Amino acid sequence: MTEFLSFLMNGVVLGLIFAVVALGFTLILGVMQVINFTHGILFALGAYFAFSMQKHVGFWLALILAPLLVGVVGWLLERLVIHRTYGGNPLFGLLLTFGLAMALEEVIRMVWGKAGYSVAAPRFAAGSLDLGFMIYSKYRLLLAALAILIILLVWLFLEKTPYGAIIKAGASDAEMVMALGKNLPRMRTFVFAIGSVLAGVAGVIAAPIWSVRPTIGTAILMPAFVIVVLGGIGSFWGSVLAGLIVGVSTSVSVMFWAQISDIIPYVIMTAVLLFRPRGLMGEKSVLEV
Amino acid sequence: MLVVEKMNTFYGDAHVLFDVSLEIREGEVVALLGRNGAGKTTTIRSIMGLTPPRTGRVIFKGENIATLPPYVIANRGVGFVPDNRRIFPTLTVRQNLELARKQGDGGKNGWTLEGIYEHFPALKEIEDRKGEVLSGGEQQMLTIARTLMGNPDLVLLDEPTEGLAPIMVMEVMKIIKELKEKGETILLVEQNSTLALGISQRAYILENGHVVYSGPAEDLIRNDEVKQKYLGI
Ligand SMILES: Nc1ncnc2c1ncn2[C@@H]1O[C@H](COP(=O)(O)OP(=O)(O)O)[C@@H](O)[C@H]1O
Ligand SMILES: [Mg+2]
Repeated sequence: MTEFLSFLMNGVVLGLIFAVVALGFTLILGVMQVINFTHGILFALGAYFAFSMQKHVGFWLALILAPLLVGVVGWLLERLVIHRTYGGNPLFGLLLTFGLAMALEEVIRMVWGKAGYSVAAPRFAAGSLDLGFMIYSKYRLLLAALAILIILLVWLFLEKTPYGAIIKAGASDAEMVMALGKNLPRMRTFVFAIGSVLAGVAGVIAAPIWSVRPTIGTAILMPAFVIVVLGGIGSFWGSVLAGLIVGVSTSVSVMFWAQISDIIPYVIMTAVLLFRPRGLMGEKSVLEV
Repeated sequence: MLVVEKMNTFYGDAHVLFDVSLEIREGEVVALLGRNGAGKTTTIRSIMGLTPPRTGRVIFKGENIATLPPYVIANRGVGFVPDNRRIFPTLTVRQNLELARKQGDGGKNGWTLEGIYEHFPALKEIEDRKGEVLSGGEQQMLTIARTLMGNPDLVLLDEPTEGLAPIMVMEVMKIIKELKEKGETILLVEQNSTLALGISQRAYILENGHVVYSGPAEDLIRNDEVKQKYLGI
């Protein structure tokens, strides 16, 4: 029973990281209609930046600076190349970001090497905490709290600020937003940077529980994609819910039958889409009549 | 206020507007009439920069805006009320309005949220409702009010009565009449030419992308031959 509880908790923590990554992914997809294959690499960069920085500036400062740096990388990618694909065939954006992702993964290998690093949890969060019903890793609890905080901040930003309203409006009718006087190219760049920051911050907080390798970007991208589709494209809480479902089902299935844990997310996605093509909480999909 | 000179607009290779020229003076309501597919919406989209003209000039307040992006044109003072309303479905009525507020001076009539609610009391009552649940009439009110929130010097109104119940049609016409009395400058596109001519000073008729008639609205009201030929009434 305690073993099950700890797998369950690990699944929730994993799901919360997935949710943060997926929110950035779905934001970019929703506003720019770009399937952003660089999203995983931005996650990896967050982890690597934090790994390199923490020795010098400590955990908290790295938690702020590394995602901002990833945001700058995202901003540059968008300004230099990705913005050219908007409004064209969605395949262009997909292929371009796919190429960029492979190139950036090579850059990571060149800078940090092929080997993996393990990142230590900050000292104040080392060890375990007795929760009464179970004993659980302090760092994972911190990670869960940070992920929940980030999710709430993003929600508040989108729902309660004027800029969030413009982004939501842009996701439903970008041309109309522009006709009302909003600088659409600038808004898109900003959304891309925000999405990148979310990928980056997820990478930073996940680094201590995974080893940091060049391939973690690719490893996080597929679950993120599955989550966005499962939750319903453009749905905020759909992504959070689907993130938790994928995290928990992956983690708990390891306990019973480790070999299937990798395919569980796809099985769930397929099953849901068969009955509900729009995903759990998405708007009516183009697949539905 | 606005002078359009020999505007030619294309959708891809399809030539849709041919040397369209028209003029709107400050404080005027000008009707733009014509059958379905004549090019009325395209004319408005071209002025707004959404489908920029390939050749020709669009002079607004003395400057050529034909090559500017739509958001710059909007911020120069052109307001666009689209034909299918295009309310943001996931935003509330109030958010739809506040989003359209612009920086800078209040324009001629200085519309504020309070002013809009005073003028459209029905919108105040539903201010917390999401755009997606509004009725057609409510959406039409909101799309006009939203554009006014940007305090435009010129309002481009594309078929504001389309698809509305008769009682809402009268309500929308009443609003446009009030805007006229407040001195707003309006280009009014309408299928219902009788209604449009009733509140316009001048009118243009488009046919297959060409301007085929222009003159005072009163003349056109009495000119059954032209109406029969180009508007089918
Ligand atoms: N997006 C588009 N792509 C190609 N052709 C279009 C498009 N929109 C309109 N048209 C064509 O342009 C012409 C003018 O259309 P439009 O300006 O919408 O007319 P109106 O508003 O007077 O009904 C029509 O022949 C229409 O088929
Ligand atoms: Mg039209």
